[in-house]
Amino acid sequence: MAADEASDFALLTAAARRSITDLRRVLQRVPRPVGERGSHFLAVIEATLTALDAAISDREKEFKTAVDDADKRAVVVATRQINSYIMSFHGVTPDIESAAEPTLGLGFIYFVDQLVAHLLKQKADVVMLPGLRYNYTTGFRPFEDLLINDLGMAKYPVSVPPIIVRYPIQEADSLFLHLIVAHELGHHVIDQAQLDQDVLKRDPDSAANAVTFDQAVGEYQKIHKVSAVRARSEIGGRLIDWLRELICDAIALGIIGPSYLLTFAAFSTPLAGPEPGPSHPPVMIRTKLLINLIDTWDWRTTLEAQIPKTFSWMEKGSKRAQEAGTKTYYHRLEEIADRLTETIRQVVEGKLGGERYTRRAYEEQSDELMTLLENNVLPAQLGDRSPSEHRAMILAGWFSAFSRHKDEPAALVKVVGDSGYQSFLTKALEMSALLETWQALP
Amino acid sequence: MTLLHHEALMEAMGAAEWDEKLVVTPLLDQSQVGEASIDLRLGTDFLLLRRTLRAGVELIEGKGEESSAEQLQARIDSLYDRRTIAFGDGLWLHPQQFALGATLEFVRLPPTLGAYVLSRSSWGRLGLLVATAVMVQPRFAGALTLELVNEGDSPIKLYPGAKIAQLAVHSLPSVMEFAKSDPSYKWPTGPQPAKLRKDQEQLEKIKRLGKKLASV
Repeated sequence: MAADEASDFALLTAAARRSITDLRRVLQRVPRPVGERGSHFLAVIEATLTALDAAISDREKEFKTAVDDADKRAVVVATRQINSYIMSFHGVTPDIESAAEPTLGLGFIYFVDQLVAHLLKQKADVVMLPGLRYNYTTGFRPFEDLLINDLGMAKYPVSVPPIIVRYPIQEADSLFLHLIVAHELGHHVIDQAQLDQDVLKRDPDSAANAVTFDQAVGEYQKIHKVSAVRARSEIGGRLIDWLRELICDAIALGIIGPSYLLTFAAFSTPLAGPEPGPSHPPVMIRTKLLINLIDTWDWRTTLEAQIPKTFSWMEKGSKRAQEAGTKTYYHRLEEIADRLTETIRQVVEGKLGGERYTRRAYEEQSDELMTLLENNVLPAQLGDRSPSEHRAMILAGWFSAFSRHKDEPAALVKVVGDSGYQSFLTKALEMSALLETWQALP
Repeated sequence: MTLLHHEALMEAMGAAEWDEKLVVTPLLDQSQVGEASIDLRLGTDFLLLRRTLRAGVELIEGKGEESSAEQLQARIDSLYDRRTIAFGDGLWLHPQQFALGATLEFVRLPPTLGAYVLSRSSWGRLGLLVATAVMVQPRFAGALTLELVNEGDSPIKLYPGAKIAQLAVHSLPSVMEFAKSDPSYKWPTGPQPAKLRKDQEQLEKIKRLGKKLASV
């Protein structure tokens, strides 16, 4: 028995070391980033490999000093667990290559840097990686759980945390779709400032909402035939998930303006309808909140002037009823979300403060930007030689794209499919960031 | 045809009417506008010709093969590797190596002006050629593709943002008439690969001509 444990253990440690060596080879093969971008992410990967290696060494020491077969078996199990971590970590291989050589236009990368600075008020190493699933996700402090909780590292290995932004691999040139990142970054803002809890705490209709919540719990219990405790937990989880999505939408609209509404419509409409889901409210509820904020934040006249037909279509869509079928508790969640709209606005306004993008700021540059775009000139620099503001450029870019492709809902597809035009705008973002930095240098 | 000097360049760049306006944007430094030319900087996008397993660049199909202009262009495009080099980093160009780059500046000429892209002598003296297709047509709009070749014996590191070329602008004897432009967006912001698909029809004709002349 002891001999078998020893053989198993030798095999497991050899397998672990081989995988670690393979991953180190990938890391050594890629060119080192010249600046900081990507370097913190690669440092985290390096630190993870070192920690995995150290964990194997620790298990070897334990195996040597194990007093009986039961002890040895326990070490073998623990070593197998480390192997499992390493095998999961293999998925990072293409990310190492992409982090070293970004696959997206520099203009968008600079824009996300700016968003992170506005929203998170901290330095971060934003790493854009292509993903195989058709969605956008962001991950803050990658592998933190593995390093701290599973491998026992005392603290996260880098002071500038990486943020991993994953985009659909086929959409590398789709600047307009990439703006979904503003929503995704919102999740980290919520975590950082506990905005979801803040909304619930400040809810002026808490009594009415508590009654509606209890109604939802009752309906869930009846429909799914589960205990009251389980129903309360399910409904509570769904409410928080919905609330987080709505807060993220409000943050994204607040920080980049109506460009987010258009991006949201272009990205979500082909994928989701009026049917609710456990983690996301249906598109019409989200659009309803966005249009409410468009009004409160005074963007309506801009949208009605530039894209009256498309905006009217969105507005009609926001008035549709959600199709929850027999799952009536989703209607209760909608009632709560409706009552929380004003509080969401207040909390997001409070969080964004002066960073919120306003119609007045847009109008300072909009006429000149539209003229440049109409004349097919890169809208990076204004007549007074100053750099164009990124959010103004993107919004004017959206409107100009509609004038090229016609103001109608189907044009959303044509616009996000026009990769030449989006590359043009991405280059304008790059040049404007370059100009701004250049002019700030002594 | 008159070469535009500093004042004329400034006047063209400041013109109120778009039909007369010369655009070079972004202009990081006003001093880029020289006595009789405008300094242009190197952009961040490059196309590097890759070695392939194919016999070579063949534009005329073999017997029994046929391809559309799009397929031909896709084949040409596949010969290049696209690279983005961020500011602060550089691209090593080795002796006899060829790469396509683009100007950092987006240039738009009105119908009243033409231009030539020229190497800057300081780079030329290191053996760097920056452009072989040097003429810029009136009404061109976009970043200018630069054909970068290191003709010297030492590798040269090319930094995006470096002043690498100059644009000499000249007036035309009369305003040229142009057909209405294509409404779809087409102005380049990075280096453009060879567009030989436009020559495909001519090449097919040459092939037929050769066949005819060779027949007995």
